[in-house]
Amino acid sequence: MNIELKTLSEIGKIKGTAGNFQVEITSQPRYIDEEKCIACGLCAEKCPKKVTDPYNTGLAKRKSAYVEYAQAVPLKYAIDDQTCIYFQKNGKCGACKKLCPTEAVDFEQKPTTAVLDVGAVILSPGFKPFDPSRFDNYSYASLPNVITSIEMERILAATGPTGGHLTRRSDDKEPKKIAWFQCVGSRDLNKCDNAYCSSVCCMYSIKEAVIAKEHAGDALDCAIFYMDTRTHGKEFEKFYNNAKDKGVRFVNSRVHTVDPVDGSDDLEVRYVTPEGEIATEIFDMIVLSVGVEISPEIINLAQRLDLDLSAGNFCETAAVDPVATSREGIYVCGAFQGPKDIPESIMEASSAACRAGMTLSAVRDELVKEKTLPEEISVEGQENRIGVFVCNCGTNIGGIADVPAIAEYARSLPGVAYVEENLFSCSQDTQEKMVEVIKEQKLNRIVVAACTPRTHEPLFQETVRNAGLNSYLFEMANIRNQCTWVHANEKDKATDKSKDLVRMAVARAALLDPISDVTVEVNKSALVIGGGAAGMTAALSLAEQGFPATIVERSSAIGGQARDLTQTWKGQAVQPVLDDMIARVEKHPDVTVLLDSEVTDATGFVGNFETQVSTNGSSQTIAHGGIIMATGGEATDTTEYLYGQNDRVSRWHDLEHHPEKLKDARTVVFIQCVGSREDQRPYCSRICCTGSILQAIAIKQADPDKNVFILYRDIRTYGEREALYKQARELGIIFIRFNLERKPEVTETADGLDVKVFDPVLQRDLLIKADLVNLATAIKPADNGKLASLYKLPLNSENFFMEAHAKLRPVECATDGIFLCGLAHYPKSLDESIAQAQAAASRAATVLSKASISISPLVSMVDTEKCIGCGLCTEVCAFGAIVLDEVEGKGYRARNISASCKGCGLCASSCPQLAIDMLHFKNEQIEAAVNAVV
Amino acid sequence: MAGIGADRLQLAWVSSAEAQRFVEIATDTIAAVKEQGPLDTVALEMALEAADMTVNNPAIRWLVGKEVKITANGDVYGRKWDVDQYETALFKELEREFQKSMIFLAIKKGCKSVRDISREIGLDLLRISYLLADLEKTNQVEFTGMEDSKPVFVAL
Amino acid sequence: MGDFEPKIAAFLCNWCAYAGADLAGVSRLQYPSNLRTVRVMCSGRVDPGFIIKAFKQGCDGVLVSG
Repeated sequence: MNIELKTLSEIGKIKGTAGNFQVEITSQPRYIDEEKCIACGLCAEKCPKKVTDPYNTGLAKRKSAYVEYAQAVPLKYAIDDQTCIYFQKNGKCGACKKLCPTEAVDFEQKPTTAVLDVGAVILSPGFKPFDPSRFDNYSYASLPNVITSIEMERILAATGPTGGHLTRRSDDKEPKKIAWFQCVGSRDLNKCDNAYCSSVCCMYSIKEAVIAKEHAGDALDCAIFYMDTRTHGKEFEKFYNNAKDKGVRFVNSRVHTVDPVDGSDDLEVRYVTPEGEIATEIFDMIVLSVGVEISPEIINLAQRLDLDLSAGNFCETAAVDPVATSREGIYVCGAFQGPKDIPESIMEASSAACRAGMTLSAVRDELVKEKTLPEEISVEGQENRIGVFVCNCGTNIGGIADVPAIAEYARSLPGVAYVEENLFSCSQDTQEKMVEVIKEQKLNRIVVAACTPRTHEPLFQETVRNAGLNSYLFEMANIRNQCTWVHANEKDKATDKSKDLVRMAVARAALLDPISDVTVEVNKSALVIGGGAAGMTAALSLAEQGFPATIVERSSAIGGQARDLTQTWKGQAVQPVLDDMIARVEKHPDVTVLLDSEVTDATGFVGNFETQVSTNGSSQTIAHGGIIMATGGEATDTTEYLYGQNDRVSRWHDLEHHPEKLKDARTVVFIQCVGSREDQRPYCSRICCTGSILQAIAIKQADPDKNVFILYRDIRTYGEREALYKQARELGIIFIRFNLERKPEVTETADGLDVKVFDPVLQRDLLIKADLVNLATAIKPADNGKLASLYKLPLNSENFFMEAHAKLRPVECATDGIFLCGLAHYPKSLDESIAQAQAAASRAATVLSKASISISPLVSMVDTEKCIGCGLCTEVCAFGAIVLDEVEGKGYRARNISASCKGCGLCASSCPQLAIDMLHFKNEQIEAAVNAVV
Repeated sequence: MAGIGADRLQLAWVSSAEAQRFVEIATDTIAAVKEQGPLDTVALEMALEAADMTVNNPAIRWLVGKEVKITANGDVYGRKWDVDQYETALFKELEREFQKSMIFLAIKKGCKSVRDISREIGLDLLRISYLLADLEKTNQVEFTGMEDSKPVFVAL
Repeated sequence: MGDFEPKIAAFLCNWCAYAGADLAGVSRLQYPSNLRTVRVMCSGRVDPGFIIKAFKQGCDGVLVSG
């Protein structure tokens, strides 16, 4: 209700300043009235014009009347006037208009322009995949079996053009050998202008290779030709290791050319092996792992809006304010900010929402619309008067099952007082009529036999509620998605099954009870655990939106790991920014800082937490509505490479803090992956490559005569950090790759250190006489065990907090009201920590900005008469939503914490005494449906 | 155990995006059940009733609910069970409760003596006597006296 | 046996298998019509008692899918 979608629209100019922008918008016609379209698909079915389907990367056809893909939002069809016969041939055709059951087709629509008054703007225009047609050596344009990774995605998709069946383009043969070429259109200034790393291709290629093997069987040979594998995301390294275990081959080489094999559709690949020899291999199919690119249209938009762009044409932002563009009040997120994957894009989207929220906090809620509802009618004690509405869904149901027969059958069922057939139950006019019928017929339970409750239950519940009934006196029978659509060739059986499903729904509906909404009041303050850059950013972001925050910091000063940093990867000095941040925290009236403090106990749930904090031994209880976990992390210690035994061996920022050590040094060696990507810590610490390269560049720039070596396994300067890697090589810093089986060896000599490393290019050991060795040791999280058990938060196997969903909810914890940012989530750079902290604050603000929050009332209910206090339910509940209370004279009794309950029902199905039931999914309600199956 | 046939119950995990997988599972399940033929609810009436009693038995539900705790953290004596051990124990308990329920139902149906019960449900005499003692303890059956030098029981 | 059309109660988790089954519909994949879906909010809600009840009522099979 508070989000308006303007599809097929483009921004012209933006006038004005932050807080008061005028945005010009031009909307192209859809030729289908969004209000009327019910997405039945008849227009596309009947449209005679076939065109290539860009969503399926041209591998399939669609019609001129179309939806872009099945999950499109809004799910409304459109007509492509560039191909439509009506537009191209002066009104010949118009089949869709004649056949549309809701008269939604409108050929008269014209482009419209509008000016929107807004206070802030967020840009998320995304990227376009690199087009490899211009690379002659890979012959993408001429050889059908050379495809892009995006095409491969569609081929592997169950909903794609081949139904998920892995075949090659030229002859539909199932391939036996597939090669992926990495860095096509990335890290390449010779054949294209994209110097940056696209960040996502290594991971998606590994994923494609694994899925390809799953589809085609283990015998499928998958080879990935790479320069450096970059699996620097959370849990990515493990996925990479698993892929190796499953037999995916990784070949460290950039392939030079692809040639067709005479007399077949196979492809010959020539490349230089890591040992420097030329090799050839024949593959059935080649996948080009294309990078991301900002399209000319977006570059044009940026110019129109007067925004600075980076060298790679991404939107320029400062590392310390990572979503703010060069124009105040305009924010950016997603791939336009820099190449990134889904979780990072989503994180950044929340971050941009946070910055916009800060700009607009003074006027929060002023334009928010809320709905008013009629008073609810009590149905208590009434005899059942069930109304059944059977939907034809155009021909989707009615064309297969015998809807009149189903309706007739419904009339015969016990408790049914009224039955109606609808052409489209969900259409606006039917909805209005339904409200009238419910009132007129005094119906008290409603069944709609139509599509799926997953998409339409909320709509019908609203209708039922508009008629004055409690929205839970409603049940759906899914006779479309799970019946007529999947039994299209068995009309009689589909009718029989529909009758059964209606009978089950009516039996269940007869036992439904009204359920009142559960709301809890919200304490509008937050507790921020950890006072590093992430915690401080989160606290300031909340306080500036009017939500007080308390920072609990274990040490005696705020600042955290950022204290150690000299500069960001974009070259900005960190300490002045950090000092400013600390000063703002200290003087902000709504931020309280508790130093030398620790969380000792916690109770409560979203909106209403109570946390015990002990400060130097004295304890206090803090009430708050949300929690930000920003417990941070640190570089690990090591005993490898003489660390701790020889003063010439240091780690991380030690040398920056002791520049005097560098003065007389001739040769400095950096060793990467010390303790990362090994068995005990099978993850990439993400920031070390960039960190060491930044230091190496500084050393080399200060004194070009110094020899600087970086010993590495894979260089992971993802995104535009790649420019630093390039700069380092140009400055003469020497990079030598090593592998886990032959790690470098450091030994003490009379006047320094000997570093022995096996050079894979020269195929022999090199001896480096070093004055200093600096180690990039692994980054580990703080000891999160206690907080995890207090707040019932899962940790991953390396003790980083786990997010609620790795891709889609990257800053939420599984427990509502608790959010996550910074190193507590995974190693990350300062800009990424700041973005995630803003994202966490934004997500927390969605809770804190409300006076009360409604929570799903489909929760567990303990019958304390039957409960014997055994506590099994508290053990099986993953959400801490049931606790044991001591009851005088009775021992213990279980008590629900409905605000934490997710309604899974595990407690109910486990209770030995059958003392627990689930609202809306009561035993008797489920059993009624089960009993009605036969 | 109840003679329903393990193939009639299928468990499978499908994610929201795996339509193809769902279809495979649906198809396989239907084929497996077809293979089994119609379920004879008349012949299995007593066994199904006993199975119902078994899964609603508090001790059984307790044991099932404790699986993770027992196998991951150990039992109340601190002994850790591996999953196989746990499953063997659970199976034994299920079998015992199921047999007890069968005996109970047999008595309810009119069987009086151990021999009658054995004829009805096909369990050996010794096992029946042993489980009867259990049922007596939990006040589910009562020993009412001797008839022709055979003990007679009634279900409560 | 060829004509035997069993009735199978299918307990499907709203978030996983039920959604998968819906998507099968959207994709117009075809399969035999013997399942009768009972939607639950989580496969953990499926009490073993429900399964036995289904058999007692004469269901020929039960599918639990989360």
